[in-house]
Amino acid sequence: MIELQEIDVTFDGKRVIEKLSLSVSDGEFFTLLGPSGCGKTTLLRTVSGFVNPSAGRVYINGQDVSARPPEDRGIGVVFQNYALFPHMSVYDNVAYGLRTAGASRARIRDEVPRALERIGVADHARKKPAELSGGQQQRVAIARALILGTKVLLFDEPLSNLDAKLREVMRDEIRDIQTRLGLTVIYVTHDQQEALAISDRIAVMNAGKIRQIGSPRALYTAPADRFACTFIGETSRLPSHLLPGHADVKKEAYVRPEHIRIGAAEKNDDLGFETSLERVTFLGARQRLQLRHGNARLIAEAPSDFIAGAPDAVIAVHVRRSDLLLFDEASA
Amino acid sequence: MSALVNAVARSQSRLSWPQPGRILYLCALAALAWAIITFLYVPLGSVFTTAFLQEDHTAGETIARLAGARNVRSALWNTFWMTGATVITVNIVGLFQVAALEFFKVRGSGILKIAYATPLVFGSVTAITGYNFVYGSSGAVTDLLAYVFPGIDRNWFHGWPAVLIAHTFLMTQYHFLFLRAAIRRVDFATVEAARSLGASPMRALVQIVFPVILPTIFAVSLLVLLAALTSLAAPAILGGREFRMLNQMILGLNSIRRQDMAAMLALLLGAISLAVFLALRWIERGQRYVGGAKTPIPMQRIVLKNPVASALVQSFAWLLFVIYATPVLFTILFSFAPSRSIATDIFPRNLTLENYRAVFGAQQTLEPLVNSVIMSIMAIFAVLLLALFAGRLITRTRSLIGGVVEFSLFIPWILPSSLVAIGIILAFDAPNPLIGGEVLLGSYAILPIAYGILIVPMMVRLISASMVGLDPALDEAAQALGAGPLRRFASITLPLLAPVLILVSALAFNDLVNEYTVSAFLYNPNNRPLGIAIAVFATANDPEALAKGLVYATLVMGVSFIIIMTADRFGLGRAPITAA
Ligand SMILES: Nc1ncnc2c1ncn2[C@@H]1O[C@H](COP(=O)(O)OP(=O)(O)O)[C@@H](O)[C@H]1O
Ligand SMILES: [Mg+2]
Repeated sequence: MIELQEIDVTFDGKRVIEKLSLSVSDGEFFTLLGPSGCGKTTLLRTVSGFVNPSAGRVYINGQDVSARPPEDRGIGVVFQNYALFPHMSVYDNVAYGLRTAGASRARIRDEVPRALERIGVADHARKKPAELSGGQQQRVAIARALILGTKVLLFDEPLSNLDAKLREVMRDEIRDIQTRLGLTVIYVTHDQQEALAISDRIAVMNAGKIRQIGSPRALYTAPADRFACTFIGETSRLPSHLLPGHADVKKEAYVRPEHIRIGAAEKNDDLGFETSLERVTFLGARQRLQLRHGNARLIAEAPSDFIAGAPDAVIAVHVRRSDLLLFDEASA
Repeated sequence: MSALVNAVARSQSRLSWPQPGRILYLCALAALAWAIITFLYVPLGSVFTTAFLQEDHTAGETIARLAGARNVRSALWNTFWMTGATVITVNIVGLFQVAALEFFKVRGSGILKIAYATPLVFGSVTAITGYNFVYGSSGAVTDLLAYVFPGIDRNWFHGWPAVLIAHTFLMTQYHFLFLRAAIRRVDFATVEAARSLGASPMRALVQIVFPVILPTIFAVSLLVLLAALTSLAAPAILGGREFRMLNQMILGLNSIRRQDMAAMLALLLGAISLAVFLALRWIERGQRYVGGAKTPIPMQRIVLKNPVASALVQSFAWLLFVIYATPVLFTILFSFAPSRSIATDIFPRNLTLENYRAVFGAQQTLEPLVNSVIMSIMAIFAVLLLALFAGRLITRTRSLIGGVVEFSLFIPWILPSSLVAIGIILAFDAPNPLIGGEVLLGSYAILPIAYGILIVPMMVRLISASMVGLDPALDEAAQALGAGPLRRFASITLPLLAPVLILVSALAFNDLVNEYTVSAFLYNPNNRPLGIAIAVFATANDPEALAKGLVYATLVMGVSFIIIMTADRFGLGRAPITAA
């Protein structure tokens, strides 16, 4: 279990993380998600010990490790650029942790080939990192981080240097390894799709603070504030005059594309209105409609066999009351 | 539009140069060919013929005589072991410096950096003078040591230990320049990766950082090797009678007119230098680790949490600071001290400009200063002209001529200074038709010419490198507007190159006012340069003379400081080593 208590981090007098607490349970795949510059890397490095918080404590498996340097925390780290040692072979990279720990030769000869085998790079053991593809480098980095048998693994945007196709493959592989070995993972990304796909729980961060923690489904269906709502998934803001009783309730209403339903209102309390079509984007299985109602632009989805009509065609849509995501106007 | 301009320009550039321009071009080409043949190939050839083609004896006999001479054998042995020892000690100090400046967070690293940079401005004979002054028998540090340990031999800074100490601390400038640049390129994420696998910062430094920059460590070690191998000022001033090195032998043999032997030894140095140069090229070609991370994290300095390690690093860093700063500070301080204070006080009681007035007031002491400045400027000016023309040949024409010129002008980089000097002596100690039947030996011109040879490789390399960077379209645009080659050169190329020309000239000036080796071989009463004057004063027992030496040293340091600081802004140390 990893626990952070009231962490403050300042760089040159600038507060980057503010009174942040969170706890990650054993075997959990926990993701820090947020726009770039919000402090995800800093928070992760606070766990690994490379950043010294100005206040707060870090506990790993119940032990206060706040004062320990990174080398004594027993945590595996996979770096964004993999950070493979360029002058060592793949084998030596993976063996490095064992050698540093003073493991016997027999143990190294036993464990390193098995680790290489497990991640499917056994054929490349003698190669230098520069001779490997991005995906292979990634695997070696994971094997290296796991060689000491650590149960805690930290990833900082591990997929950002891979192309789109490989990204999905590696994403699933990382999740498989985590499940198979029962690892506790803290994973940093700014890609909400990736976060939704891979995590048990996600912490949405902005400007050094956690805005919401929850399962991917909870975050998507019940975002706690406007930031979480607009950062995760696609949303459109409904013009306030469409809301019933809008004069009294100062609320902002957001709606997901799949909840803008085509056709006139079906039930009494549905919000029905007419829109004009601005653009249709064909995506294969679905199509994306860009609609306009007054000054508001709305994104909706339709099956791919839906004939939307020419630009400026009038399309009637409705939104169910229960699908509205409502936030106080003050919440920002 | 620009396509049109280019097309017009290209069609015109195919036309031959206009008549007067063409004649000028051919004249310049002839002058360049004459300079290369006369001042590079003829002296080099003379060294070979003198070493191998004597009328009354064979090369084998020369070698046998050298091998039979006990002082030559001991100088050879001294040179070899001193070179080996220097490479080791300089690496210990240099690697530590680089780590203290770029890897560990050390308190006051800004000040440390200035102290560690002093070998750049406090080099050669100037620095040796400073070292002799503070560590020598009447030096302030020796006073202090004698106060703490009353039984100490006041003459401790003498012989091989003094030479090794001076080498160790004065030859770290290559580490400072090149190794610091290299360590900054190491991917910091690899250091953190090692630490996350249980390695302490010290262990990460030794197991990850040093191996990654190993090619650069080798390269700077080879540069140190060359510097130590051809060291002259240090053994001449500090070594005394019992510790002599190879360059001193060559100088001595030359002065007793045994030039066959001097030439043979100089060629030995030359052969070793050539081997070292080839090794450097080989290392630079095989930059093995460039395929590291695509997006390396810039190096950051690590706070040492281990109190013992931290204390060790901090105290060693500051010990080095004291070692580096003391000679410089005392040299400057005492140059402003009354001369009677120099022999007696640890600190000067009062400061005065008396010594400066004495140096600038007397013809005899002013002369070396004036000589060095004038001869350096002469050499730089001539080489600038040559480099501008040669640079154009090298960069604009892919002809055989360009290649031959480039190769030829690079030769002096590989040659030890003493070999250059011996070559000039042998080629021009009798009337030579190539220079109108004149004799150079003993003339004023011999030093500016030799200085020119020393700075040619650096200047041509840097100037032609920046010529490559010029956009040819600018020149072509001017051509399309009707400007002739000379006008284009004066109005386009020259203004664009001006900053580089000034910088390169300044660097050359810095080298030349500090020059000792070639000066020691070639100077005569007409052109005694600063380096020689400093060395004479440095070894004087008379405080008045010593004071003047300190004034010279301070002046040279001041000039060098300004030049190096300016050059540093333009990215000194980032160029490949074999190119500069
Ligand atoms: N070593 C540092 N020194 C100063 N500021 C830093 C340092 N590291 C990060 N920051 C600043 O802290 C903020 C958060 O950075 P980071 O944690 O890298 O964000 P993220 O990983 O979410 O993109 C940024 O404003 C960044 O500029
Ligand atoms: Mg980041």
